[in-house]
Amino acid sequence: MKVFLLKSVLFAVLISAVASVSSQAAAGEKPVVVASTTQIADFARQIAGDQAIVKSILAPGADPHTYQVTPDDVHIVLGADLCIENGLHLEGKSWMATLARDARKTLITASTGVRLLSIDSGGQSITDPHAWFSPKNAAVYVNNIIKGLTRLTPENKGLYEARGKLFLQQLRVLDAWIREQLNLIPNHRRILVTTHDAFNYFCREYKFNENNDFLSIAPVGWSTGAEVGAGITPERRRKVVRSIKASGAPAIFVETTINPKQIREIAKETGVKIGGELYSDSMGPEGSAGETYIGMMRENTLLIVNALK
Amino acid sequence: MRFLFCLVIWIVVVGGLRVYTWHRDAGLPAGPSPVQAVEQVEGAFLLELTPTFSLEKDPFALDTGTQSDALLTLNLNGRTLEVPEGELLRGKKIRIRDLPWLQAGSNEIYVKASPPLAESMMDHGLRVRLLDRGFVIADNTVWGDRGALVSGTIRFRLTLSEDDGHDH
Repeated sequence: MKVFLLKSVLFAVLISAVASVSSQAAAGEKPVVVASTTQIADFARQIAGDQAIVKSILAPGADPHTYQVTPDDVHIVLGADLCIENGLHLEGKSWMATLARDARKTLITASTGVRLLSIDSGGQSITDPHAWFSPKNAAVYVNNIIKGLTRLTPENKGLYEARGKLFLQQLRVLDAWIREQLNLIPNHRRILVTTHDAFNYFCREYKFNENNDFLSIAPVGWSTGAEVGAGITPERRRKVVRSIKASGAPAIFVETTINPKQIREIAKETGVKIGGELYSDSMGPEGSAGETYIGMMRENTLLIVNALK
Repeated sequence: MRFLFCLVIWIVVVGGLRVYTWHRDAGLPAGPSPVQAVEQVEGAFLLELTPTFSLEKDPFALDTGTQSDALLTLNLNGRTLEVPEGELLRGKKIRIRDLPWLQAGSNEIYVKASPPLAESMMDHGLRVRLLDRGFVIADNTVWGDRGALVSGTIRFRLTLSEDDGHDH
């Protein structure tokens, strides 16, 4: 009888402990937000704070245009409560939308509502997806992410909006600081030549490449993938060489996500120096100066100013 | 029989734990302490704002569909004041007479305004004056560094006199 009593008490205590632990776990569970790119993941972290776990499909330095989805990515998206993509075909063959659709997860497009730039690429009008290169557009991304997170966990609306206000003010100050820094470059030297057409929004916002309608100059098109108007063509390459020679660009730039071979060849051919490596479609690795959006924009600006002023 | 006995023991243990936690938490305060009553002051108050810039829509404002940042945010003791409609221009005084939440003791005015991005190369300021029947009660200027929003708080005290109800 004593043994039975002891067993009963132990059983009851065990049941209570398990119930207590499981209810604590349920109360402490955080929603999982999965972003396609490192920039969007950074925006989401700034807004979500400790109220959500934010993961990025792309690793720092990875190219979203040519990215191949892995089984790990499928697993990550299956565990997501909210998926966020850049959209505008930045994710080659819309891989993020496909992942979210297959896993039946809610997907928001962070670029919804930005002032889009259309570029002419081989007679085709292409909408440039690299909208985050204008901090004003980054603010639109942030507002969309606040809306998405609020729909996911409405009880945290106040926290998301409070963090959002702070981050938006930081973006405003960043924008003013970029203008001040770029002002050090004389107008005739404001020529930005990069590996691929990622910097159109930056050029339009900060008035680079006046002779190219304030759009970027690059041998590779808007995407490094195989989409219409993407990749390198002999005509594009010739045009870039002509532009560099005509404009007297003091330096041209390689990008962190793309093989620098093309741009090095062009630098050699035109006799200009390489100004450095710009963060473009992906931010820098953890511990680097470009591991956040603000850090990435700051480092790009300093690199450009130092090479061109 | 054994099952019933087990159930009784389970109820006793869980019930005991429940009673223990209830007793433990009974001494804790139930919620926030009641806010002290404040005494409103009456007078012919006028809040006067003079910006060094013309206010324009901020592309970096919070805009979530349900809430958007106003061009000029003005809070008195934590409550939002109505800002007169119309253009808010450089050097033009903005006057607000409806100040319902002024109280005896400490008061705080919070202002936030967005200068034009095209003027992000310069600092901007917003002069804030509170007057009562033409007498200046508070006068301060809130500054914003290059590119930043102009925002800040102004604190002042109001006291009630025994004869006419107030004295500042």
